[in-house]
Amino acid sequence: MYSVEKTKGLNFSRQFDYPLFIGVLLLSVIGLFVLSSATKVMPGNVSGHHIMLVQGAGFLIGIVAALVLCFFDYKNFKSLGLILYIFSIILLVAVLFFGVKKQDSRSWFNLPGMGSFQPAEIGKITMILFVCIFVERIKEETKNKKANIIKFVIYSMIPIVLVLKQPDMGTAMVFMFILFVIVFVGGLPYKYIGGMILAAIPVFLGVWFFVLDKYQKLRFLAFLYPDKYQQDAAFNVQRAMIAIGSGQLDGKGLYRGIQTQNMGVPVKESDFIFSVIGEELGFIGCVVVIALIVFILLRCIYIAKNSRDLYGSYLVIGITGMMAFHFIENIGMNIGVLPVTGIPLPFVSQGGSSMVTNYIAIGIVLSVSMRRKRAIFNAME
Amino acid sequence: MEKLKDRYLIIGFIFLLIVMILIYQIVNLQLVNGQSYDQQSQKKLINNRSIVAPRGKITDRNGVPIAVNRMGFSVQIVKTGIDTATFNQMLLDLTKVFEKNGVSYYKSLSKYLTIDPVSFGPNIQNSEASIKTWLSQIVAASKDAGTLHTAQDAFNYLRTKRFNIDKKYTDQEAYDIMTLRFELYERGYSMLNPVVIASDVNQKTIAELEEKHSQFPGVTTDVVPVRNYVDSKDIANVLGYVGAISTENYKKLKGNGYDLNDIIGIDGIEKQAENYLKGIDGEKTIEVDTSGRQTEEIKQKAAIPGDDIQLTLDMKLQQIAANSLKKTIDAIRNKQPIGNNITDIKNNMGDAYAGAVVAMDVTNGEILAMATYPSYDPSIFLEPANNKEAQKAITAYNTDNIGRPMFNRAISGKYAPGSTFKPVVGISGLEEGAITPTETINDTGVVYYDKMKFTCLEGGHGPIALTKALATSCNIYFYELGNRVGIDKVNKWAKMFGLDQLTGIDLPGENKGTVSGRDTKKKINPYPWGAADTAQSSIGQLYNSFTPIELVDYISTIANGGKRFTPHLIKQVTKYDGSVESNTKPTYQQLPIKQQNLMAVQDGMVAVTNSEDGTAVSVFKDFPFKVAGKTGTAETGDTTHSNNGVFVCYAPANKPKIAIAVVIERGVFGYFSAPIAKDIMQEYFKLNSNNTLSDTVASDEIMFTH
Repeated sequence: MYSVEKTKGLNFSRQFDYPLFIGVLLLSVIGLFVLSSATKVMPGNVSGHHIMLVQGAGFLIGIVAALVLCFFDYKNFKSLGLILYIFSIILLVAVLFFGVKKQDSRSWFNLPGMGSFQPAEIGKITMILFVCIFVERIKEETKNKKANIIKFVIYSMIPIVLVLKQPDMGTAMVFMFILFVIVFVGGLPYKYIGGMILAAIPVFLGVWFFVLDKYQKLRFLAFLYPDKYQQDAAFNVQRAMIAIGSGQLDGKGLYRGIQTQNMGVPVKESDFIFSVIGEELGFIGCVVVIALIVFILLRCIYIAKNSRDLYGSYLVIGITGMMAFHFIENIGMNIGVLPVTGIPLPFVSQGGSSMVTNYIAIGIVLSVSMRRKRAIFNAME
Repeated sequence: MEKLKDRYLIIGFIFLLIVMILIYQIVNLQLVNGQSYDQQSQKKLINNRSIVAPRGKITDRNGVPIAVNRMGFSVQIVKTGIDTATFNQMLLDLTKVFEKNGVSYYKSLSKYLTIDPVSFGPNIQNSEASIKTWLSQIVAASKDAGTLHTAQDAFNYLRTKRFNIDKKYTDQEAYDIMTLRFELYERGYSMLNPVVIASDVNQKTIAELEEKHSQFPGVTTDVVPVRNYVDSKDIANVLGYVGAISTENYKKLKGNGYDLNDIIGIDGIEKQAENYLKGIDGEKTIEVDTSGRQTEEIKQKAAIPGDDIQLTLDMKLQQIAANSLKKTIDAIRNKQPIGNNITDIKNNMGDAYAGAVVAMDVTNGEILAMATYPSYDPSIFLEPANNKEAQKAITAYNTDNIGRPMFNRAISGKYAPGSTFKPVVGISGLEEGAITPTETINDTGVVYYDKMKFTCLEGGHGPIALTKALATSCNIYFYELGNRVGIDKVNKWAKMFGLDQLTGIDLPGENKGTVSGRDTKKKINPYPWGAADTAQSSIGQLYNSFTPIELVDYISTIANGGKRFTPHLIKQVTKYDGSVESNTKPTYQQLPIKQQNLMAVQDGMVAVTNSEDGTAVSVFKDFPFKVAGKTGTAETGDTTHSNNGVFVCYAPANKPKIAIAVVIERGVFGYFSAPIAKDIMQEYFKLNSNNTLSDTVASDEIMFTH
C-alpha cells in the first residue's frame, strides 16, 4: 500500500515536471525550424523574417510565463477566475466591434508591429479556469447543486455564443470539446452523454440552415465530397495532401520541399504547417512530431488524474482537451480526414500570441503537476 | 473492471485511437502512395503569371488608328531546382539562341560593367561615388564591398563569388552568363514569378525554344501585346512614345500596378494619358512542372485593357500641316518659291530650319492639327535594343541641340510674336478709350521716343486708322497707340488673352509666354522703363515671347467673340467595353471686350489678307472665302540670321471655324509662313482639287446620318 502525503512547501528542482516541459520544448524547437522553412518564401510583401522574430519572441516570453505560472498556486484561480473570465468576455465582445475582418469573420485584433491577437485564445483558458470552479462544486457540495449546474451551463455558453457571433465555427467547436471533456471526466452519466449526442442532431441542422454562410458550408461540403467541390474549397487540402504524400519516408529535407518552397500549399505557415512537416521531414518527421504530441497529452492526462484536488484535475483535463483538439484537428485536416477549420498546430504554427497562450496553458498544467499527489515510497520512515 | 471505469483512461484511450487513425492516413499518404504524390508534386507547382493588359488605342477624331497594339512574344525565366552549373550553361545556350536569331534581350549589366576591355559602364563610369554605390550593391556580403575597386575586381567577383561561373568559360561567355544572371537578380527572380528577359521576340526564336524546351528548364514563352504606331511620323511630338519604365519611375509607381517589365508613356499623349492607357494587368494562377512549364490553369483574373483615347486631331489635316511645314521651311531655306507665288529672296539668308504650326477649332478649343519641325519617328523608340540603326537615330534625336526634334515647339517653343501682337494692342487702345476705330494717327515716317529714332518701314503712311494700320502692319501707329494706352494697360490686355500663362493644353511640357512689361525688364535690366520700351513692346518685340499654342488661342479668342477656350487634344476616353469614360467638355473664359471693338480689330485682320496693301494678300487673293490674318516678322536681335516668321489667322472671317498659328524660325517674313495656313485650310474646308464638291457633300451626308 502507498500512502499519500500533502507536500509542504515547494522544492522546485525536485517537483518540477521535467518530462512535460522538455516534451513541449522539443516540440517548440522542431516547430521553429519547420516555421522558418515555411516562411522562407512568402507571398507579396509578407516578411518571413519578421514572422520568425515574433515567433521567437513568443517562444521566449512563453517559457518565462510558464515558469512563472508553475510557482503560482493554481488554487488562486478559484478567486481570480471571475475577474479573468470577465476580462476575456469583454475582449470577446470588443473584437466583434473593433476586430479586423478576415475571411468574413471578426476574430482578431491588430496589434501594430506585433501582428494580430485572437481573444478567443485567452478565452479558452479563462473559461476553463472559471467553469471548473462550478464542476468541482457540483461534485463536492451537496447543496446548491442545481444552482451550480445552471451557472456552469450559462458561463459556458456565453463565450461560445460570442465566438459563434464572429463567426468562428472551429473555435466554437474547441470550446464545446473542452467542456465535453471536463464534464465527461467529471462523471457525467453515459445516458446524458447519449442524450447530448441526440440533442446535437437538431442543433447541427439548425446551425447548418440558419447560422453557417455559404463559404462555411462549402468548406464542410468540400471535406465530404472533395472531388465535387475541389475548385472551391478542398483545393488547399488537395495541395497539402500532395505535399505530405510527396515527403515519403524521409522527406525532401528541411528548406527543400518543392511545394513548401514554391508556395504550393496556401497558408503553409499556419493552418497547413503540418504539410511542411510531412513534405520536408517525411514520415519519420511526422511520427516524431506525433509521438511528442501523444507524450504531451498522455502526460497531461496523468497529471490530471493525480491532481491533489478536483479543481486542478478539471483544469488540466480541460487544457488537455483543448490541446488535443488543436493537434488532432490540425493534423487531421492537413491529411484530409477532418474538415478544414482554420485551427493552428500548437507550438508550431505561426503566431506569437498563440505561442504565449499555449505556454500559459502548459504553465497551469505545470503548476498543478508540482502540487500533485505523489506516491511516497519512503512514508514509513 | 475498475480501470475501464476510469474516465481519464478512457479519454487517453480515445486520443490514442484517433492518433492511430491519423498515423494510418499518414502511412497511406507517404508510404503507400508516396511515389504517386511525389510525381504529382513535380507537376503541380503553383505559379502566378501576370497577364499584361493591352495598352489603350489612340485614334484621331475620325477613328483613324495612330497607336495600336500587335501581339508579340516574350521570353521569361522562372526559378527551378537545377544546380548552378547547369543553370549557367543553360543561360549561355539561351544567349546563343538569341544571338543567332538576332533577338535583343535585357542587358542592364552593360550599363554598369562592360567587357572587352573590362571597364565600368556608362551609367557609373563618370562618378567615383556611383561606382562605389554599385560595387556595394553587387556584393553578397557587405564586408566584401571594401575588397572591390576596379572593374576587373567586380568582374571577377561576379564571376566566381556571386554567380559561380565555371573556369572553363571564356571571359566573353562568362560575361554573357553574368548578364542574364544579373538581370534575373535585379528583377527579383523567384520561383513564383517569371522574369521577362526578352520582349517582342521573333517567332523563329520562340519555335526553337519551344521545341527544345527540355534543354531550357525554367524558360517559358508568352504572348504579350506590343505597342505599334501607324503613320506616326507626322504626329510625333503630339503622340510621344512609350519605353521601358525607368528604375526611378518604378520605385515611385510600383504601388500603382507597375512592375519592372512594364512600359510607360514617356512623352506626349502617351505620357499625358498614361493613367487611362495603362489598363490593369490580370493574373493567372497555374500549375507548372519543375521546369516551369504550365500543366494546368487553376484560375484567371483577366486583364482589363487600357482605355482608348480619341484625339481631336484630324490625321489628314495633321499630315498636311506637317508636310506643308516641312515643305515651306525647305523652300525658304533653299530660296525656292514658297506656296504658289512667293519668290522674294530679300533678307533671306537661307537659314530657316525649324517651325511649328497649330490649328484649333475656335468654337470649342479642339486642336485640329499640331506639327513641329524637325520632328522624329516614334516607331524608332519601339525598336528592340539591338537595332543599331534605331539606337543611332535615337542618339541623333537626343544630341541634335539645334534642330531639337524631341522638343515640341508648338507648346514649348517661345517666340517673339512681332506684329501678330498688334491686334491685342489695338484692342487695349479701343477698350481703354485711347483711340476710336476711325481715329487716325499721322505716320510721318519718323518718330522719336526717349530720343531714339523709330522709322516706318514703308516711309510713312500719313494719317492712318486702325484697320489700315493692321493691314499694312504700320509700326508708327502702334508705337503711338501703345504709348497712349500705357504699357501697364497693354500688359493687362495681353495677359487677359493668356499670353503669359499656360493654356492648359493636355500635353506634358508646355511653357508659358512672357509679356514684355516693367517687371520683365526689371529682372534683366537696371534702367527704368521708358516710352521707347513701350513702343517696341507694342509691335511685339522687346521681351514679348509666346508659344504657338498661346498665339492660336489668342487669335481664336479674337475670332469667336472673346471666348478664351482651353485648347485640348483628348476628345474622348472610351473604356475597353465601349462605354465612355470621359468626354472633354469645352471650357472657356469670356473676356470682357465690347463686340464693336473686337469687330474693328477683326476688320483689320481681314484687310491683311484682302485689302490691296494687306501684308498677306498675295497668299490669299484667290481664296474662295475671306480669311482674317496677321503677319509677324520678329527680330531676334541676331543680325547674322534671318528674322523669324510668324503668321496667325482664322477663317471664315464672317463665321470663324478654325484658327491657325504658324512660326518659322529664321522664316524671314511673316507672310512666308502663310502658305502653310492656307494648305491646312484648303484641306479643312475640302477645297483641294482631289476633294471634289461631291466628296464634300458625301462626307456631310455621312455626318448627318450619324
